Amino acid sequence: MSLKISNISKLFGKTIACDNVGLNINQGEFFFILGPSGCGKSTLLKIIAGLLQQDSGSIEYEGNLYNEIPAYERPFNMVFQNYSLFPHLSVFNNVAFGLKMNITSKEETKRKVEEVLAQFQISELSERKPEQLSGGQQQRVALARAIVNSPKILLLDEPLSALDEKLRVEMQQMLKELKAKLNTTFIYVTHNQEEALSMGDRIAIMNKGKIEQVSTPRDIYYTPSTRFIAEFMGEVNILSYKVYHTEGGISSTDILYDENEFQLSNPKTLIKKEIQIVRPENIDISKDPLIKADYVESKRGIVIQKLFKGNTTTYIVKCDDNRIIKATDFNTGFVELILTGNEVYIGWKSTAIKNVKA
Amino acid sequence: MLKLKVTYNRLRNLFLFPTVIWITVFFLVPLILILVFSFFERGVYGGIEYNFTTNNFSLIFDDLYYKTIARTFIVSLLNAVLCLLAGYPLAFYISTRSSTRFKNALLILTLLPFWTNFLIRTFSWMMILGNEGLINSMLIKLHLIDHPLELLFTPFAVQLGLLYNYLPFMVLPLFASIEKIDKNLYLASNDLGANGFKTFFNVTLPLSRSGILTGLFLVFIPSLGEFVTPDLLGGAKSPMIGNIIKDQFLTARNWPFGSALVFIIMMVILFALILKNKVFKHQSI
Repeated sequence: MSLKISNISKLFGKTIACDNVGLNINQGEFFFILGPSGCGKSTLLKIIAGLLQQDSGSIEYEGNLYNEIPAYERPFNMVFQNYSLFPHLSVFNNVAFGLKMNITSKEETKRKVEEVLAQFQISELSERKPEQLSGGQQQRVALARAIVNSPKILLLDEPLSALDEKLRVEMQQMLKELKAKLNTTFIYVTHNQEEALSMGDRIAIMNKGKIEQVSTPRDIYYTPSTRFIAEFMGEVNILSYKVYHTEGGISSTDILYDENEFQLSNPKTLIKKEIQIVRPENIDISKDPLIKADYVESKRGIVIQKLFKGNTTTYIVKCDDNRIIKATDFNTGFVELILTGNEVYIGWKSTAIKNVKA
Repeated sequence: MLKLKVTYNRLRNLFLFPTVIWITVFFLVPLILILVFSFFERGVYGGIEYNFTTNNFSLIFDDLYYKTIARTFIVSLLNAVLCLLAGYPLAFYISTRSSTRFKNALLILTLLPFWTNFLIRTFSWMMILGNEGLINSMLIKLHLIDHPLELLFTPFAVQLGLLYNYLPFMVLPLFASIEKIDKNLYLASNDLGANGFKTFFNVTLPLSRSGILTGLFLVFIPSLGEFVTPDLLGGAKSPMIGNIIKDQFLTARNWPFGSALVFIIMMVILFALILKNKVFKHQSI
């Protein structure tokens, strides 16, 4: 383990930003910290950088305790959310800032800066001031400014959130290419699931200051450990609610179908609560009756709404038993096979069902 | 839409009207009068004799006057620099406090002396610096000196009084410009290997340059016209141009020469401002 974060807690007044956070991040890993805004992920990143002091807990890097090492002596560099380029310095001097602070010779600074500017295809901007740059260009400069110092760990704080969709995809590709060339650890904080899923080696899901799950993108998506993660990572159908409890030494399970009942249900001898979920894309939908044997459950229903999303369409189906199920199908051709109001058959296989802690 | 805009413009002009009149009557006209007066001769009993002359301007190069003018510039410039040196740490300290209430309290304390009369403030310094003033009587009681030090009526006293009176003019623009700096830039600098000291010289100082320049001008320009402080604290020994101008208008009753002096100072200030704008034209910071 190269970066070891143990029991980090941080309070802002009465708000808990980080609640006993522990993480182990390997050298060279592309690691994501994913969570909704206000979950404490940026605070955690700043604590790693040394820009904020934790209230308790420790940070170790390569076996050395980093708690007392100030930000300017840590071999980590950060790409800030709004880039935070120095407005009074040219692009060249922004990128050269870190090298100058560490007293690098003039020739070497020049060589390194020019090399990085060329790598990020911004050589021709080197004399410009940040205010004369577009968002995408500023992003490149911010990245170059961090990378030029050859950090052991690159910390990225929602670096692409200010860019438009097309540019974001372009930058994602660039980051992935950059990552492949370096043995630098990338720790990337974002609220964008797609970014985390498409780029990350591993993802830590953070919610209300706590880490809820650390795993590979595939695991996070298909076997989320909590209801929060399941719903945060994409759309879900909740098939049933289960309340496990014991009565007089005998354990029993209540299976409920009503969300409200589930929220209220909290027997004295509660063991755990679970929900059963199926992702919409794991539900097969057809105008013809399905072969029952293939599915663990299949139903007939009426399409009450259609959401066309380009490559996929999500159908909201009201089943005969009055339950609402979302099913997503790939759009393969130009012909609309299923229309709103059509009678459809839906079904799912047992492997598609996941039990998740509520 | 267009009609609305026309009405709006008319309304705007209507509201501007009183200000335009005020500026014209009480500012522009006197200014032109001063320019005109400076090219005429003085009357025998004061007033103006309307005979064209440039003598008023050549009189400025008289030993007596140009030395005072030169000293005034040095004193004013020194005052601006001293205010900067004293004001920057103060403005920086106030700006870096985290509590807004504490910041406001400190700012009000900085401005507090402003709320008392200018004369009283300067008189207080006479009480402090005089032969039987606070400093001398204390030093004598402590047996550190036998005779009072000559503090009052010296160039030192004038410089001190000016520094005291003009400090808020420096602190306010400095505070405003330091406050405006994005705090994330400090984090970025820190992250890139700069400790607090390096961050100050590489980020804070260059980014507060507009405040420094504004402060320097806000102190330098009114210092040039000062006559109360040198009068009260400097006595007869260290007059500034302001004193001479006052004397020309009120005592010597040589309005044309007084006007010429005013005109020269204004030209110098104008030149300095133009120079400042030329030099910093292309930089928005």
